[in-house]
Amino acid sequence: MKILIVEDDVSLMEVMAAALRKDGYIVECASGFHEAVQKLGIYSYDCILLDIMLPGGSGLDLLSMVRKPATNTNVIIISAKDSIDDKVAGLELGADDYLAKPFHLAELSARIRSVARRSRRDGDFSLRCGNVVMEPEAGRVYIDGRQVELLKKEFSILEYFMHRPGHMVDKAVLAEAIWGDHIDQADDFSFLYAQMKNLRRKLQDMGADIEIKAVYGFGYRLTIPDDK
Amino acid sequence: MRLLLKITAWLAVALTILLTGWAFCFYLATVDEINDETDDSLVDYSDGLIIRKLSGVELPSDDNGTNNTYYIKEVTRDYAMSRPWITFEYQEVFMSAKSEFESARILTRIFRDSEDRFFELKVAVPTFEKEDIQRSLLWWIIGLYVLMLLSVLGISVWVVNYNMKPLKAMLRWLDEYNPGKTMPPVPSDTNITEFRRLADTIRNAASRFDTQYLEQKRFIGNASHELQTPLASCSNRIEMLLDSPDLTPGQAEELVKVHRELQGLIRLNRTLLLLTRIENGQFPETSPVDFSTLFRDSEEMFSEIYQNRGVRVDMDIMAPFIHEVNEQLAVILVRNLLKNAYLHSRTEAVITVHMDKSGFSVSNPGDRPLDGDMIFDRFYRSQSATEGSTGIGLAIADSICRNYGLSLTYAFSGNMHVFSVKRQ
Repeated sequence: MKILIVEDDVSLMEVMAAALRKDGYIVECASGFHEAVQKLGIYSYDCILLDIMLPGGSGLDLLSMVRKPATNTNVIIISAKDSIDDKVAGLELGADDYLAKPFHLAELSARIRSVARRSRRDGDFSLRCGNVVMEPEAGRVYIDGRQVELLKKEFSILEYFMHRPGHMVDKAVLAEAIWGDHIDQADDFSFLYAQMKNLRRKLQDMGADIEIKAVYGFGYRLTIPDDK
Repeated sequence: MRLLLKITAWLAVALTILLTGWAFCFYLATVDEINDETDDSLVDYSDGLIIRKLSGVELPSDDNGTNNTYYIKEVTRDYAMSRPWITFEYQEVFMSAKSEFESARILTRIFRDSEDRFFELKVAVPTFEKEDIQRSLLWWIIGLYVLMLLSVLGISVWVVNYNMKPLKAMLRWLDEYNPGKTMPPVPSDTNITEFRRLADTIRNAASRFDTQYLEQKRFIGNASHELQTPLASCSNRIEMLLDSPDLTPGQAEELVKVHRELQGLIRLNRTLLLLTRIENGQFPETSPVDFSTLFRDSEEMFSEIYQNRGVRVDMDIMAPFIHEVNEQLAVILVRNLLKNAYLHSRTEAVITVHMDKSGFSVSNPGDRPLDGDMIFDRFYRSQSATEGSTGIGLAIADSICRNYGLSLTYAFSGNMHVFSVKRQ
């Protein structure tokens, strides 16, 4: 999968590119409006990560340019402006997703996988990691073909990890994603630990070959057998 | 004190002093004039009597239809020489004509006939009663005073109201003025120089405020926006490092700490941006929000997050409080207040949520009151502050309330911190 990063901050562009290359994507970068226009004129990309505020022009203009010929390119807007108006404007122009700065690398990776999955033609929206298959819309999880009963929160946590396999997930970010914005870094996470314990036990009991591992008191990582 | 009242009060005081002085002078002048006239007539009358006496003509009878009375008696030479030959004085005399004592003006003259005999003539004419004239003058002055006061009051009300119209218009304008708000031009439809100058000054000051306000707003917004990208870059680099396999556990631990600090910074920056956006009115969509539902949902969420604290929430909902507000912000308001109560309660404490049609309150037990003036300021933290809190949650709650016609107040009663939200 080929990705174009359009971002004027070179440092951020570098780290995004490095992270995505590590995930196995082919990555190209453009640090300004005109460079992006040139690259888009010559090559085609599966996904564009687009900053709105660019030297030389607005990212929104670039977006409408990409959208004019009906291409299958996915566009994720990456903007420092976290306002609903900008989101609505971007999505109306045909962006597939909107990610506000600053973001976590795991989140970026999840969004790219998510837009790619949605644009798949075969209509198979299920998530697969190892021998675990999840149908998020139906709310069902299968391990080796056998359905597993998960509680609502456990299901959400597993879904969050299956969107970000192999990535480190900050426990505060996870808690925020599942319980809402009102989690602070300083809160103790016993509520999260309890859920994680149950989920890990259920996965193990049902013979899943994926594992959610704790990392340095930072958070967790979903490991797939191939990664081991 | 209203200007009109002040003007009237000063006029009343000034008029009192002025009219009193005037009345005193008027009284003196009147008395003087009356005396003068009386004295003239007494002199004429006494002249006639003396001429008659000296020429041996019979003197008129005492009771001659006038109120004038006279006495003539012979006096010794020594007596005559020992006193002035003509004196005027006031005296209470018995008027035989009227058979009563009356206040009278008396002329006493001493004269000598051709035989060198001395006579003393007293001529008396009843005159006005001083007390009567004083009393009547006083009544007249009081009447005049009241009349003048009423007219002055009426005139000044009219004059002030009429001439102060431009001032009132400007005051109304100032009442409505808020930096950053779109306003009609400053009313300056007047040809009074002072008011024109005032209007100019107001216009200049307001435009200066507006500019400063906009610049400050833009600065905070831009600063926060500009921070987002480097923050993203830093945070992502640390995440990359944490993913790298050659990291020792010690290094990882340090990196995790840096990452935590950075996340705190990101959160603070995001919260400041939120605050700026609330204050800029960037959440225009409103709908009627039922706060009782929000409280029930939030309580469920927090009780799960803070289950190990054993804090209990006592919901006392008499009637749902429904208010027109941005829903996203209503959620933030409720959660900030509830979260604040959770964070600052000891274990096993009971938080009380009270709600009726006019508003709601969140109370949690505490030892000593907080500084009510400071508590809604940004970055205010009590001594028992929890590590990691930004000190901005209550500032946001307050800002939301102010922007949607609610009032947020703090009180400490019965060893409880009480945060109340009411419709304004």
